[in-house]
Amino acid sequence: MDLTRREVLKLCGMGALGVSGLATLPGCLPSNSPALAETWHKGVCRFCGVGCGVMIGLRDGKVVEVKGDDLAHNKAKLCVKGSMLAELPGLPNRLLHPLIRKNGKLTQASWDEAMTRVADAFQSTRQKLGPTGLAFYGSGQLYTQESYTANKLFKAGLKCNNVDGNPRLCMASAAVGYVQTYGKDEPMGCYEDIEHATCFFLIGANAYECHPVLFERILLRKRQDKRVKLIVIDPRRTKTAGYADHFIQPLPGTDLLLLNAMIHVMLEDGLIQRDFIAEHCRISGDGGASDLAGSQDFYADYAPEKVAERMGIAPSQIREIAYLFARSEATMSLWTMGINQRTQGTYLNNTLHNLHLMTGQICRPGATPLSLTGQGNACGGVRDTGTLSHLLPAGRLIKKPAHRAIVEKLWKVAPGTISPKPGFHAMELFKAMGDGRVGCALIMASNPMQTLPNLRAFREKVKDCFICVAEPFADARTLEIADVVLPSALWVEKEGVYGQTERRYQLLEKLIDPPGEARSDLDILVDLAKRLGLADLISAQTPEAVWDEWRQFSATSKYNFSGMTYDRLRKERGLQWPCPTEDHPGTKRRFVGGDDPLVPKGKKISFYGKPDHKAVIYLRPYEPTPESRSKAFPLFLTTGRVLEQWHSGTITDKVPELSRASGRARFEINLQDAHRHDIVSGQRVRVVSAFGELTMEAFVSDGPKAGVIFASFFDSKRLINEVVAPHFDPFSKQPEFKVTAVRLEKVLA
Amino acid sequence: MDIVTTIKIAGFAVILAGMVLCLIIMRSDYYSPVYKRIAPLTFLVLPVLVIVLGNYHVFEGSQKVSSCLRCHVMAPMAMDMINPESTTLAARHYKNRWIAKKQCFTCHKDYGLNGTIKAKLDGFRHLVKYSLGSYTLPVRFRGRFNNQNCLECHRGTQKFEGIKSHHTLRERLESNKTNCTHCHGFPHPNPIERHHGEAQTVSLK
Repeated sequence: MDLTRREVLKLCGMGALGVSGLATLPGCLPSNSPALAETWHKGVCRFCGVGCGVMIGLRDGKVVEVKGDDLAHNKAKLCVKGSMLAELPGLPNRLLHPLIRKNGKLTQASWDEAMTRVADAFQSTRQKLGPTGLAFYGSGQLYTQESYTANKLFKAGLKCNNVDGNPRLCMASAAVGYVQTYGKDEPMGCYEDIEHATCFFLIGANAYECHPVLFERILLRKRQDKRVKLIVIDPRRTKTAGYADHFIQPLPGTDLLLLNAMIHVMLEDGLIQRDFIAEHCRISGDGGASDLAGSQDFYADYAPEKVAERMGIAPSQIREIAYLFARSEATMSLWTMGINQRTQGTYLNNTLHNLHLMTGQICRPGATPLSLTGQGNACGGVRDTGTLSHLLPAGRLIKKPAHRAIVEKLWKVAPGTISPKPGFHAMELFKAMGDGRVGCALIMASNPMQTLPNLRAFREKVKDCFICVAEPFADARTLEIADVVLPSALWVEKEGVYGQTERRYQLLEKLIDPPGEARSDLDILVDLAKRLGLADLISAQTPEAVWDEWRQFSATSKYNFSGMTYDRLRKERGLQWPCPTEDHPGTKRRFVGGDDPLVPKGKKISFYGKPDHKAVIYLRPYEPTPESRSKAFPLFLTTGRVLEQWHSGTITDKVPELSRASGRARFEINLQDAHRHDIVSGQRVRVVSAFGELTMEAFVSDGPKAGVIFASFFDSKRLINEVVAPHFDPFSKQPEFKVTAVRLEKVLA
Repeated sequence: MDIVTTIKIAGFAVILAGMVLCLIIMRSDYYSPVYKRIAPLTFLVLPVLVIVLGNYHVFEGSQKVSSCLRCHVMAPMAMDMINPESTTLAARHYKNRWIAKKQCFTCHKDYGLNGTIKAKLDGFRHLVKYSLGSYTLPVRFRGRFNNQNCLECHRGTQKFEGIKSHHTLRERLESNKTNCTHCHGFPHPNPIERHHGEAQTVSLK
């Protein structure tokens, strides 16, 4: 072929242009290594109350990958549990069909057969025992629409207030604390406060393991600004404590002494903000004290030098942290079960709020008391919808006639429908199921036969009660007491809203079908309502319809989130309430003028939950825990979670990577106690309390304080809750999982 | 003197030599022995040498952070990295000198002279799209991050090995089935947080 030089150049140029053009077309040149997923969908993590945003990757209708959502508050970070979310739909031991107990064995049945049996049991029990003979035990893991519907079905449809759930075991003291102090439940702060705080006060919270994504955010803040201090209070030297500037290790059950002693120092050394207290607070003491002088008298008994020894710490430590707390530019408190799961849980919550109110460390960026939430939807699903035995939706109380009247009107039921008597709280409910006061119960998305304290006593007694359990997995321990088991959908197999710690509501859309015949909990509740002749009451039967009903309901309250339409939730990475109109961006900081739309104009701060717009500083005296150490039981047992496992391990223990990382449950024993009992790591030991005993391996470490044993409750084969005492807080009714007097015995091979 | 500068000087020297030789050839007779000796060197050896050196210079030069900053699409990532106030993974690695130099390249080793053909094609695609403006903002990472870029440094360290789940997830991490970024987040700011910060960009250039 004869080509001139000019033609060669032209051809080269055209070739280059052609290749360049092709390169701009999608797929013509390979992109980076192909992702597993074909499509990505936003969602929320299934586990804790941090409520991390996730992106869920689908291929061929299956979840193949999950990663953190960089546009959500967690900025793409997840903990190890969240990173394994893609495994959830494929986990073994899923319940595929309804089961009915026949001759002592659970056998496969049709949905119609199972639901007929449940409805019959409800009808017959109602005839026999009246409405109080029925019960619902829910979960902070149900979607908001599910909890709302269950609450309405039982309280308005069946006229039964025995509606409670596992949030009673984890968040009740925090909820009651907020209500008592500010008039309304839920924290006023937000995660963004972490970026503004200069002092973090973590008490009774092992955030490294239980809220890892938030803890990493705290550590980032610390790395960013060397002035930032981290104070950690815990009877155990946790991984969280390993990062502390000040770590204080009091004996279990004594930390109200510590908080009161901090206030004593603040009063004594003039660290309190008198103007703030005068303008925004009211003081209320058990002995009638109502001013700062009265407070001074009350806290006089809590001088560090008087109380430090009882806690097993030094007075100087108390003075040091009191100064740091009060004088920091912005102090943020974070707490969880170490404070809530206590017989003085409500008092502890009140006193934590006192520290913030008295020092003015509140309602400013970084200055806030933020209670960390245990479960993914305990806040939005249970506390906000009022799915507890003493509550009605949006912070209303059963015992208040005016509140009942409003709810009856909104639910379009006859006046007087809702019973004026609060139902049984969790602990009383299972007792009532055992002694015949309750004859029929529906349990959803919860595993109480692993998580209740004094477990053995409950498990033996509730067998005569008719129990229906809706649950995704066939090996949950609660199935052992079930008469009917309903297979329920899990996570993205159904649709609903999750509401996390910082009042953020986030939508989880249904992405895949549940396995076998499993159904969403909402479908189960709607079916039950129809069979009980209550279809007219439960007229909203889809997640979107229920949300719209609940959203409009909220407009009549201080929880107003009527601006959060389903369309907005589909688009946004969640919205924080109050959010009263569809163009409102949501509220980062509650009670703060200019941010919270419910604060009266012209006010910088308004605690509008109280009629006088003033928060209450309750003077709360320390009382020793009912579990005191004795010769027979010289040690304290305290329980908690581990990083890789979620609650009772029903889900996470099936993921090999998580299960291997956590290992099996074991007793963590202090070096000194181990030495005294001649115990080494790996040896089998027995821990005995007045309520039960458990044998498993010892792990000797300097983690727990001397005299303290730690164990986790995730292991379904090693039920530590059989040892835990059943005492509970008289106000919140939350059990004291953190303090049980025990003895340690070496098991001879 | 670093290798990029050496190559740059060598390249200029070769080009200069080529120009001188061209001048000599232009002034010499086509049939002269000088032409026959110099012509293959001028029209074959030197151009090949220039191509090799030029490419090597581009590959090596593109490993510098300043090279990444020149592309305004990448500038927000690099800007964030050099921002001492930023807490992103990239910024912390830069600020703390965990990676002392070639910070962009160290975590994105798919390009460079040792990179794969596919990485070259990727680079070419990016170049074409950037030159023709045929891309949409915000730029999003669509592929899978190669964990080896993290593991090369972190594997075997006390901190990394001290995390139990790193052991149980090792197979997934080595095979990229679970990405490091799944837990530790994206190293760069998300699309909402990105900005150019012109003044600092200029100072770095």
